[in-house]
Amino acid sequence: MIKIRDIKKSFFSNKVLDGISFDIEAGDVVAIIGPSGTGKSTLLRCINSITKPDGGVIEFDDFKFDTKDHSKKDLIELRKKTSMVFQQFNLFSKKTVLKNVMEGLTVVQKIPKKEAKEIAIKELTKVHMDDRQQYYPKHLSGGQQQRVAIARALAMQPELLLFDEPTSALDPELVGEVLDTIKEIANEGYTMIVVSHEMSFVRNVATKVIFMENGKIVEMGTASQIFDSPQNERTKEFLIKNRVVIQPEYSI
Amino acid sequence: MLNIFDIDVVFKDVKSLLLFVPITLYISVISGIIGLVLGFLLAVVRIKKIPVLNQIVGVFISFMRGTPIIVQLYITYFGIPIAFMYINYYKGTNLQVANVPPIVYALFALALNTGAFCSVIIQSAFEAINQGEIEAAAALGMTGRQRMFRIIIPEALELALPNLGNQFIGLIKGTSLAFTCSVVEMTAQAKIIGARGYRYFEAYVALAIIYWIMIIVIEQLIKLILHLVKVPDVVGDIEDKKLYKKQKKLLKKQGGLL
Repeated sequence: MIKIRDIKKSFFSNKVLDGISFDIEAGDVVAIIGPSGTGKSTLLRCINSITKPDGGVIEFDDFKFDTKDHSKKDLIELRKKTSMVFQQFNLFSKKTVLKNVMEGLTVVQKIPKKEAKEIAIKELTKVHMDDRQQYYPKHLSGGQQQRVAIARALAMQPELLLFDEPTSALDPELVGEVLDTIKEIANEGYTMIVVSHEMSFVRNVATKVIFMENGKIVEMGTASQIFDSPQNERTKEFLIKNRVVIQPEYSI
Repeated sequence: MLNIFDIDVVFKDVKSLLLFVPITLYISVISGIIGLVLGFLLAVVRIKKIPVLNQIVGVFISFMRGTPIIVQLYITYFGIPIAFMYINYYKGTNLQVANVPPIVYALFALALNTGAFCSVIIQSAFEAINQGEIEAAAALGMTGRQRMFRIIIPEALELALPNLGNQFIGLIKGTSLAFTCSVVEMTAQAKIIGARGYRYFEAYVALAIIYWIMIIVIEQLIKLILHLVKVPDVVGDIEDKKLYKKQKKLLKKQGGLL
């Protein structure tokens, strides 16, 4: 079980995260939805401390990470337990697809090259990119790059996968292939947090949905709870705007 | 035959000037390497905004960019002996200017000058790197050092290389001013040869030819290095070799490669 407790973050006077707490069970697919600029991405980035939170605690079973008071070793440990897939893919542009996936294995986990290569090929096969091993990121389409980025994240065997709007930078035609890949991974039982604006995807895949606004969790529940019977007015409004809940055009 | 301009003298001069190519190259390479290392360190100070040092480096770079090389050479040539006198006076040491070979002055001034310019080039290259890739490396659990050597430097190198090459070419030509520190390199020797028979023009033409050829060779070398560190335009091992060659040819025609 992963516990996230009271994560806070302000940029100068702008309070972006105002004490976020929730739990994640093993195998959970947590989806975070909400309007732009409410701190969804910041929350994700605070969980692996790429953006340094102002306060809060992250617990992985017996590993406790105090965001304010931790050693450098703890920070590396936290990042080993998590893997992130970025909106802009962020593949290493000077390395081939295979090397991109192997990088974390050989450098961080110190796995011998031969073994790392086997793992990398296995993960690339999972995302259907094994035929592009020697390509460089610039030779690939956006969707292909994002699939490689997913393979890179999976290869690290993380306890928690973080997806930061994985399809927002893709054109509509390529969104499908990436969402399908994420769905396959979810079905394999990986624990993950997904920030996404793809409502139908969230509805199908998520086991838990969090609606966030202004740095706070407004509503939290299972996908059917949130989508079928939202309790909060703001949640309802958001879902109507996103055409998830269809409102009758008129009523008598 | 009228020989106001004697081409044979040019050829003869080229031959004797070639003996001085190693000195010119020696000054350029040594001060280039020192300058590059210095430039890297200065760039790190500027990027990390280390207090006090940052301001000092700012003034240093501004001075080096704002004064001609020849002036900097004069200042080192006349400044070091004065510095020695002060040190001797206060510390009671016995440093002798006569013990310093003249080439050291030239190396010193040119290295400082190159360092200032390189630091600006390196700083801009570091700042141009895609921050997302550095974040991705951090997210994988790489330490700061691993990120520096495995991700940042290889990328900055590619970005900085064309400008560093330019800087090196400028440096080679800058060595022609080393005569002000009484170093006899190619240009100084050309003056001497010219003075022998008052055939200055021929000597300088010979000198120009050598510089030009030297720099053409170095330009090609830089292009080759850049080609090696660059991500290839065409993927390396496509199964279809014929297609690969065709693609490469097409790119060459469009000026994509070299």
